[in-house]
Parts: sequence; structure tokens; C-alpha cells
Amino acid sequence: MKKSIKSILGLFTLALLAVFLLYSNHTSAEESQKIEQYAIPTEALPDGVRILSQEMAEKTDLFHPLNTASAPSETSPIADSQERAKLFDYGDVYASSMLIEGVMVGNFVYQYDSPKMAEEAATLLKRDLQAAMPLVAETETTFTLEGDEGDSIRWYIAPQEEMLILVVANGLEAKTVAETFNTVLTLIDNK
Amino acid sequence: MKKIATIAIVVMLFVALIPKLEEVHAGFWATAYDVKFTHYDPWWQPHYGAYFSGAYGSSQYFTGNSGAPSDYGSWHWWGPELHVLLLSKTWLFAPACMTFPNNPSICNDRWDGGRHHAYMAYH
Repeated sequence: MKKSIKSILGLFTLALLAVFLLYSNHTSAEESQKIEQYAIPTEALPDGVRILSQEMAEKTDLFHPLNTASAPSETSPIADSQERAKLFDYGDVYASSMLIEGVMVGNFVYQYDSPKMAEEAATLLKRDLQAAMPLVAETETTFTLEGDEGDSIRWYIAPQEEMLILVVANGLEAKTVAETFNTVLTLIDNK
Repeated sequence: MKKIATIAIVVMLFVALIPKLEEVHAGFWATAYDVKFTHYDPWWQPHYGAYFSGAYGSSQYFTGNSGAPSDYGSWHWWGPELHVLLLSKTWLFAPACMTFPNNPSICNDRWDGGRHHAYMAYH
């Protein structure tokens, strides 16, 4: 009798575990699909574009800019612990990178709990960039900077619903970087 | 009986560990599996590198047709296990490479993991 109760309990535990695993996989797939909807639509990119990576990232992965593993610069506004806590209070992050006409383009989508949080995060990053040197040009959502190897870096920072969308274009020739960057932003605007 | 079982388990563990011990200490030649963003310093300034399996890379060389600068062999290794070879942006984005996709044969191979090779000290 005792043995059969134990067997039933064992089977019940296994069944619960299976249901939990199925549900968690299903939920994470749904989250992944949702966040990807805000990313650059790769199917709309011109022929010859080379996709280097497309993945859901961990918060600690160093290959996306708002990773929690890098120490912020001491002079940066996001070095402030309260501001930093707000910025890094996102859930999921989707990262992709691609080569377009010799320019590296990165696209990062961070999912916050509310549109207000995403907007606050965007404001913080923009404030940080306005203090960055050398800042070459800026609009409400775009920034042009010079990199440490004389390269040209362009950032797009914008909240959309509860998402924070970042796009970076990087290359040596400012003109080509600008053209590629603008092409990619058109794809985002047309979604 | 218990003694025999204990001895058998110890022997099996020892046999199972021998290849692992060899793996840990043996260096090997490796090919990078990816070239992509490595880190940002500060957050708005991206850097790039070739990712290798293993740890403590050295003696790197490049087999792409576009060639590597003479100091490629002394470029820095990065990451907690020094498994990422940092690549210079001026090389990756060299002007001759900017004609892609009209002239895809030039410089594209710099972004191919399969063209970067190195000796890794550990698995």
C-alpha cells in the first residue's frame, strides 16, 4: 500500500514538473516573439546584408550595451546607483547585429514593465550621451559620436510602448555610416 | 562485498577522470566561432572581437584573403578567460572594405570566425 502511494506521488511530481517546463517554455517563446516585433525587420533589409547574430540575450551578456556586468564610467549620470537601478530594471533583451555595406549595425530591444519605465530609461541614456565627448551631432532621438579609433558611431534611442529600442551604426566613413543608419531607421519607422 | 564495491567505484571514477584531466591541461589550436560585438567602453562605444572556445589564447594568425596587419599577432586577448581576440576597428572597417556588397570578395572574410586561428592554452 505504502509503495503504491509513493509511486503515485512520484508520478504526480513528475507530471507537475512536465507541466511547469512546458508552460515556462511556451511563455518564454511568447515573450521572445513579442520583443522581436520591435526589432529591425530583417526580411525588409536589402540583398547582401549579412546577419551576424540574432538572439535573446542575458542581462550579463557583454555584447549588448546595457549589460549588468560592465562597470559604468564614474563621470556618467548612469553611475548614480538610483538612476542605474532604473535603467537596468528591464526584463528581457533581444540583440541582433548585421553588416550592411561594410557598416556594423546593432539593434537592441529592452523590455520594461511599463511605457513610463522605458521612457525614463531612454531619457537617462540621452542625458548620458549629451555629456559624452566628442558628440558630433544630435536630434531628439539620434546621436553622432566619434569613436576612439576615429570611427563614426550613430545611436538611435527611443521608447516604444514598454520597449526601449536602441540602434547603433559603426564604421570608419561617416557618410556611409549615416546613409546605412538612415536606411535602417526608415525600416523601423515604417513598421 | 562493500569493500569490493567501494574499490570498483574508486577505479571507475579514476578511469573516468583520466581523459578529463588530459583535456584540462592540453593546449590546442582553435578556430574562432564568431566575430561580433565584445563590449562597450563606455556603453555607447562598441568594440569587436573573434570568439574562441577555450581559454588563454595566443599565437593568433589570420587566413583570410584580405590579409592582416603585421601586428595582428600581438593584438590583445580579452574576457575573463582571455578567449576573445580584440579586433581593431580601423582594420575591420578599412575603406577598401566599404564597397560591400558591390565587391563582396574584399575584406568580408575579416568578419568570418573561420579565418581567425589561435592557440588556446586550456579547454
